Amino acid sequence: MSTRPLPELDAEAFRRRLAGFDKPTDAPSLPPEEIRQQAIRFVAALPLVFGDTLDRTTLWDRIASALETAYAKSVTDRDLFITAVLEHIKAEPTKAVNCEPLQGIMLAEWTQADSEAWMRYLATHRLAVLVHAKSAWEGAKTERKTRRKARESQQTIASFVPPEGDQ
Amino acid sequence: MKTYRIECVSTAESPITHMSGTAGNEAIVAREPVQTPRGVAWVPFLSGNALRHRAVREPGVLWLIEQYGLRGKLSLAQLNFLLHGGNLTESTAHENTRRIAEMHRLWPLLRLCGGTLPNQILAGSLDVWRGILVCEENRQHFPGCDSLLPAAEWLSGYQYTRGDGRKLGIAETSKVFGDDGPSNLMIFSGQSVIRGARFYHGFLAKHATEIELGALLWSLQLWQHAGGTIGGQAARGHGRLRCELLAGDWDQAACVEAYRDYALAQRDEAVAWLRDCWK
Repeated sequence: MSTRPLPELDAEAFRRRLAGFDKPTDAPSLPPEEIRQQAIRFVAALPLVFGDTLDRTTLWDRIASALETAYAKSVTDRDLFITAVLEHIKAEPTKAVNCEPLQGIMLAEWTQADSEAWMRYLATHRLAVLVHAKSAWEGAKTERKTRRKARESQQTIASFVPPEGDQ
Repeated sequence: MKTYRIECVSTAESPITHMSGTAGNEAIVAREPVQTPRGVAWVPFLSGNALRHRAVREPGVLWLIEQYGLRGKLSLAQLNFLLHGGNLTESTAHENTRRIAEMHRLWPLLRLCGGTLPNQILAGSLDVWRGILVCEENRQHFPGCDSLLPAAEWLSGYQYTRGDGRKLGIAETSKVFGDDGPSNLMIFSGQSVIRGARFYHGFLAKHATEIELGALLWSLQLWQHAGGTIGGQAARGHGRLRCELLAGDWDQAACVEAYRDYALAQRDEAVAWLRDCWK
C-alpha cells in the first residue's frame, strides 16, 4: 500500500495553521458589535425604499426573503448583495439613491473582510436582525411622528393671528 | 525508550458531524463546556475516544489483519479485542504478566492502545487528546492567535433526503397504482462543523520505543490515506480531516519503515499469541 507521510510543520507554520490564515490582515477590522449594528441599520432602512407595488403588509417577510436571496447570489460582493436586496423589495432607483441611511452603508469604506463579515452576519442572524430592525424602524417612525406633530403645533400657533382689537 | 508528544492540527475538508444525539429530528454536534471570561460556553469538540479509534486503532489493526492473513479467521471476540478493545467477560480476572510482556513485544500497536482479554485488562500506553476547536472560546489554548472566530461561526447545518422509488413507476403495477402504503421519503438533517474549521489535538506515547512510535505514525498515515474521517455521515462525504504534525525529533519515514518490517517479522508469533489468549 502506498501512503504519504503526514506533513510536518515547524513551530511558526504550525501556529499559523492553527490561526487559520497566512495573512493576518485578512481578518475583519470592524469589531463584531459594529458589524451587528450596521446590519440592523441596513435592514431598518429598507422600509424607506420598499416598493409601492408590493403589499405593505408583507414588508418584513419580503425583506427576510430579500436577505436570503441576496446571500444566495453573492457572498463576497457587497454592492451586488445590496443590489439584489433592493431589487427583491422593488425599490425605486430614485428613492434608493436618495436614502441617506442606505448611502451610509453603501459608501462605507470597509475592507473585503468587513463586507463579507457583514453579509455573513445578515445571513446567519437574519431573523434576529429583522426583530431589531423593526424595533429601530418603529422607533424612528414614532420620532418622525412626534417631530411632525410638534412642527404642526408650532405652525398652528404661528398662524393664529388674534382679531384686531384684542391686541 | 522515551515519551513522544505528537501535536496535530487537523483541518476539516468536509462537514464534520461528530454527534452527541438529537434534538427533535435534528442531529446535534457534540459539545463540551468551556469556561470563558463571559461564563461557560458549549463548544464543539472531537472526543479522544473517537480519535483514538478512527485515527489509531482501526487503521492500524485493519492493516495487521490483512498482513497477518487473519481475514475470515477471527472469532467475533478476537475481532472485537483487536478493533474495539474487547470485553472483560469472565468472572475471575487475573494478571498474566508473561502474556502482557509478549503482547508488548509482538503487537506494538496494542501496547499503545491496550485492550481487554476475557479475563485480563491490558493497559495501553497511549494518551489521546481530545480535539479542541480553534475558536474564540478556546483562546486560552492558542496564545498569540489574535483573530479567532467564535465557535458559532464554525457551525452550519445539513439536510438530506432519502427518496421514494414509487416515482420511477417501475415497481409491480399493483404497487404503483393501487398501493397507498407509507412513503419511503425521509428528510434528515443535523448540525455540522463547517469546512475550514481547525482542531488542535495530539497524542502522548509514553515510554515508547521507536517501533511503537512507528506504529502510531503508520496508523495516522493509513487514516489519512483512507480519507482521515471522523464522526458520522462519511457515506455522504462528511468527516474528512487533513492532519498535519508539529515537527518533532523523529524521522517519520524511518520509524514507519522500521515498524512495518518489525510487524511483518513477528507475524507467526503474533498470531500464535492471539490464538493462545482464547484457548
